[in-house]
Amino acid sequence: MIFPSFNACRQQLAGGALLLAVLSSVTSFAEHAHAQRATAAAPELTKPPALLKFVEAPYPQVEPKPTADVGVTLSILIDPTGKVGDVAVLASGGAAFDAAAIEAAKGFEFSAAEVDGKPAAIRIEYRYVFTMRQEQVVATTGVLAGTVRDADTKAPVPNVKVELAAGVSALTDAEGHFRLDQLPPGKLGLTLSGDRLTPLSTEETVVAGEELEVTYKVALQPAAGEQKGPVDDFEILVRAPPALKREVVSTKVTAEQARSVPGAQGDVVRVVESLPGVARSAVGSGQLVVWGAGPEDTRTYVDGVPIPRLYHEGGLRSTVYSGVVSSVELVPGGYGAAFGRGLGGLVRIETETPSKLGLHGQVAADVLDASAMLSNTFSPNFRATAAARVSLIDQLSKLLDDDVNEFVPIPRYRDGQVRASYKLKGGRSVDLVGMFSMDHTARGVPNSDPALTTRETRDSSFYRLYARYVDEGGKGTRTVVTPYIGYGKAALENSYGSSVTSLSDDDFLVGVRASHSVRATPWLSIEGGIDAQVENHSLQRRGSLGLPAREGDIRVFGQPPPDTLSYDSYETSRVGVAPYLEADFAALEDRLHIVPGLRIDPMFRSVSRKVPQAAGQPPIGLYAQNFAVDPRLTIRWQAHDKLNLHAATGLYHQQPAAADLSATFGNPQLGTSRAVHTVLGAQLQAMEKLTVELTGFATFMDDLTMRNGADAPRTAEALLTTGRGRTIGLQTLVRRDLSDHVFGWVAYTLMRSQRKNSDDQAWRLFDYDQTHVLSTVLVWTPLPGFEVGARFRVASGYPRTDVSGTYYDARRDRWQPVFADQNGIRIPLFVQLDLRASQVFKLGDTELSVYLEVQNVTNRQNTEELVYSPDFTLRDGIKSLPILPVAGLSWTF
Amino acid sequence: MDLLSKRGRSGLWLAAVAALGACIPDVDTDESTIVAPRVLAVQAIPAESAPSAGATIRYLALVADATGTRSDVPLSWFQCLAQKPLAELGPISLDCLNTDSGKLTLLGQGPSVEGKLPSNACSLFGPNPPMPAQGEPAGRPVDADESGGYNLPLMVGLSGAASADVTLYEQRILCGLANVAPSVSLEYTQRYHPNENPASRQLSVVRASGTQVIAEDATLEVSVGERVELEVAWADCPATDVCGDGVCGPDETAQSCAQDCTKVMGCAGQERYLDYDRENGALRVRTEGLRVAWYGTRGVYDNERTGVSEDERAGSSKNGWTAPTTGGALTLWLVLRDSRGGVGFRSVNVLVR
Repeated sequence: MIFPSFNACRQQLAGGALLLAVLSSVTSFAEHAHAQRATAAAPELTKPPALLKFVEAPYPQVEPKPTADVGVTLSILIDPTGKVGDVAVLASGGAAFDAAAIEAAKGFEFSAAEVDGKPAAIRIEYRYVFTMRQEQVVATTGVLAGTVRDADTKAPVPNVKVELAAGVSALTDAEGHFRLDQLPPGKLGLTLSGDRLTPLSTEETVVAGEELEVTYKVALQPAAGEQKGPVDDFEILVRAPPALKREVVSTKVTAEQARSVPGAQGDVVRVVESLPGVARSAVGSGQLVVWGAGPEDTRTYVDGVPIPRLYHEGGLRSTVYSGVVSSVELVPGGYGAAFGRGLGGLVRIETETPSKLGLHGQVAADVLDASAMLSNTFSPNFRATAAARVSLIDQLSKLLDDDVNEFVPIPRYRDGQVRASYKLKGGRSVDLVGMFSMDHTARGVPNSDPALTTRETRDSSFYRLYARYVDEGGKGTRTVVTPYIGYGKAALENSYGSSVTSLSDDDFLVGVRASHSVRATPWLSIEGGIDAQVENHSLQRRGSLGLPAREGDIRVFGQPPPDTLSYDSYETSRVGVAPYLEADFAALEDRLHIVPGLRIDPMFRSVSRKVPQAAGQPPIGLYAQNFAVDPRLTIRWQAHDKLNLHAATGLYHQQPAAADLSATFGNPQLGTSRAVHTVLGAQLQAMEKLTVELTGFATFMDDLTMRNGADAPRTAEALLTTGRGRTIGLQTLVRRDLSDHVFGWVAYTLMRSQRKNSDDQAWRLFDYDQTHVLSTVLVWTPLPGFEVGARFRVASGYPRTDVSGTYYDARRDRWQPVFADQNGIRIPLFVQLDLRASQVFKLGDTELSVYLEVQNVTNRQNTEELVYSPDFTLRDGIKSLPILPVAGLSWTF
Repeated sequence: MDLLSKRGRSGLWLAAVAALGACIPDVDTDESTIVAPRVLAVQAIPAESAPSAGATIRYLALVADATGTRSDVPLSWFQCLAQKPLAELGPISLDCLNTDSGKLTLLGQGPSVEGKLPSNACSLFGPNPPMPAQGEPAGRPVDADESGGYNLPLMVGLSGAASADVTLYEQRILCGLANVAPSVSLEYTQRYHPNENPASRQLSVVRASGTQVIAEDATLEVSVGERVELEVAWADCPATDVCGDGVCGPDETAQSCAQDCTKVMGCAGQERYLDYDRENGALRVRTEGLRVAWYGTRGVYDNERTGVSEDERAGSSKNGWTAPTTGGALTLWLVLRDSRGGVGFRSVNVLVR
């Protein structure tokens, strides 16, 4: 940055600038000498004085600033030794300039003048000139300024010390403002401390030559006699050059808010169930059905690392401990080029290492599980956290009758995370994270009839280890590299009479996600990156083609699986190396953003068996590749200060599932499936804290994997990519952000989702179609520390196929259904109200939080599934859980 | 990676929800009490046959109603030659329920009929898919059932039309093995012996006063509301093969034991039989399970179904039965089914005093 410098001034000495005049001292001497000459000769200057040392005067700070050079004429007396004696102004340049010139002249040093060959005192006339000069200065420092406010009352908080790790600090004024100048660029750690304020640490990225404006909302400790709610995080709004924003439809919820949503028992990630675009899943399924995409089509990421499941078995708990979750974001569709390999939406979980100074932690327990988290800030540059959770319900169930443990699939689960965060120099940081999740359920239903004796066990687990390197280069530049490895195992064993089905899948994956974003110009930001992954599966499957069931299968709940059995053992490898590029073009004064993106996703896969296993024949493998080019486009237009319009479209590809590549149960030659997403919407900032969103969406899918409907299918073609799908819907969200102790939202989705198994078949309802989904969440903190919340949900039931007739199967001694039109009826409407209340108690420096949730407050008899009598003459519904209170507590220290 | 059945997982939890109280729907029906005419069982003699043998098979149906066993109801028997699509999760093609499909061949009418298996039965319903056209991949062989067998569907209609009165019977057909080594196939051909229908060797009633065998045409007399225990016994099949024991077992062949295997002699109980384990790629010997279905025109059984699994060996199965509170004659039936689809049945006349 170049700006005029008034700090330096150089006298122009060249060419006659120095004026020396022999003045009155010489004259008076001359006069004296003349008087003498009346009697003698006048003295003669034989050697003039020479300036040996010049002193530069600081340019005076005057207003208005001069627009031209300023000169001051001085009379300087030089003694016989050359030192300056008296200095007087002969011609003024202004008081400030006069004083500066006099002060500088007093420091001059001359060689002694000589009169008649002898050193003598002399007075000279000297003109001192002050000159203005333009300089180009490269900024080397930045500024951090901002405001500190009370998180609850939003009032400014004075006398908060904002201190940098280097020791520089500032105090907020009465308006809560602070300012720190001349800061070195890069990532700076800083701490906020003050009265009633637990010291908090955070990091900011300062850019040389720029001023970063921040607002900190902090939780103040209650004053004496005052109680307050649980706020263990502080919210930061950073107004900085925005990073590339790709998604036009995404709902992001902070961990603090998500924890308060009724029905989730404080599990942050379970808030996804209440977000717009998400179908209401059957109790205990934990399925995530987003915008008409199947549960297997929506991808879940933790810090950019894929994980196979969001919830533990039964959907009661998420697989990521809430204490390390900073936010949960659902993108139902139309997302940018950084992600792919999925036809449905995205769930992105961001985790963090808690930033409180010192050793802190949390212990929690309820009827489902117990958990603990410990975090410590070892130094300003190193923090670590460890968290673990273990189910209790399986231990408590041992107190129940053995029959309950036999019949009811009591879940047993574990999960844990370990994080270490390192802050490096120059705005860089590294996080190392390890996580795991394990599930086990078992159920057995004895029967006097051995053919009706059932038993089922399920085991699943996954492990992930990753590093996340972030380089905040400043000025909108950011580099993130996340290499990861993972292992997973899933096993199912199901027996229905003597018919046994078993599946096992061991998988290993390694990958890296890297991105680099730059702000090339004020109107152009670019991000490029790569999303690479190698995934190996080792699978064994024994049993019927019909189990597990697939979307589109016509069957009723509880129907025994087909008893024709087969077996396969095979391995698959799937490789994807997807470079991508996105650009954000800003126009109309940053109101219009056009974000085109391109993702090139070469997908490679190999299968160890091209045809079913045959004795005496070596396995012949198969290698296939697809080259997917996925263009994406997002447009956001701030048409008005309060109105944002947005649109997105994109092409998405998905490789076939490893389990579908079996030569016996599937088809090793399955191709990739494809989907086109189209989104159009508007967001209105109706009030300061109230937003209204309306989004229309449509997705069209091709080459979906379906069962082969031929009477005489060919070998290794039990499945074919002949399916098609389409979803059209409208989604509304009215959201109130935290204000006046209240937050919440109303989300409603109207949607129709269909599938067809092949082109020669008619469209039918998708098995997970839900025409109406309404989810209302409201949380209120009427008193400090006391919070109440409600969640009200209405959802259409899933489609089902009615039974129009029956016949007796004399070999199996059971009735077999004859079905009516596929998905021609629905499970009845689901309506449920859940309430939650929580209270925080202060115990010294620690907090004890107690909550009580009552699910299904009205004790409504919702139907979860349709069931039939054994002869299919009667139909009824399995009802959902009745009114169910759940209590829990957590202690935070 | 998550290959666990999505719908199956939900099913697991829905059952749990139902079990947790006040959620269990009331859809139970009494499957033992016979009030309307229906087919209780179908028996094929022989129980298993190779299509290539051209044997004539006799089919008998046990038809019952509130008055007892019926032998005069009009039964139409159809052989269905429709292959079942992979996408069909039921036991048969829907064409088997449609008399206009052109896939049903009438075998005859009456309480029993005779018929022969079509020569291409193992191709339509077994491991021998038709030869493909040149350049085309082979067809997918049909998967064997849980006992390693293959089945041809027969439709038995009380009124001759596809309706709720239709009964499916699947005739076990003796085919070879698919995708196995020739030596294994040969050994299987030699050691596998067709199924024998199970039979009730003896039916007893157990009272506090003692056990009484119920003769074939005898009438069991009980008191009003009396609870008795019924025990059906079947042939005690050998656990190991001994040549000359009268049973051709899976470890015997016509060459190794001509006495038992020249004309294969089966056992009407829990037979041992040969099966191919695809997971391990080897032949193995298994033991049939036996299920007993209990029926009656009146009275209440403790269990509608009893039996022994493959992992158990027993010579009989018991069930409690409580007589009705009003006197009169009634009929009880029991149907035995083994793991390979073999069927035997027995009826008992009861007089309640």
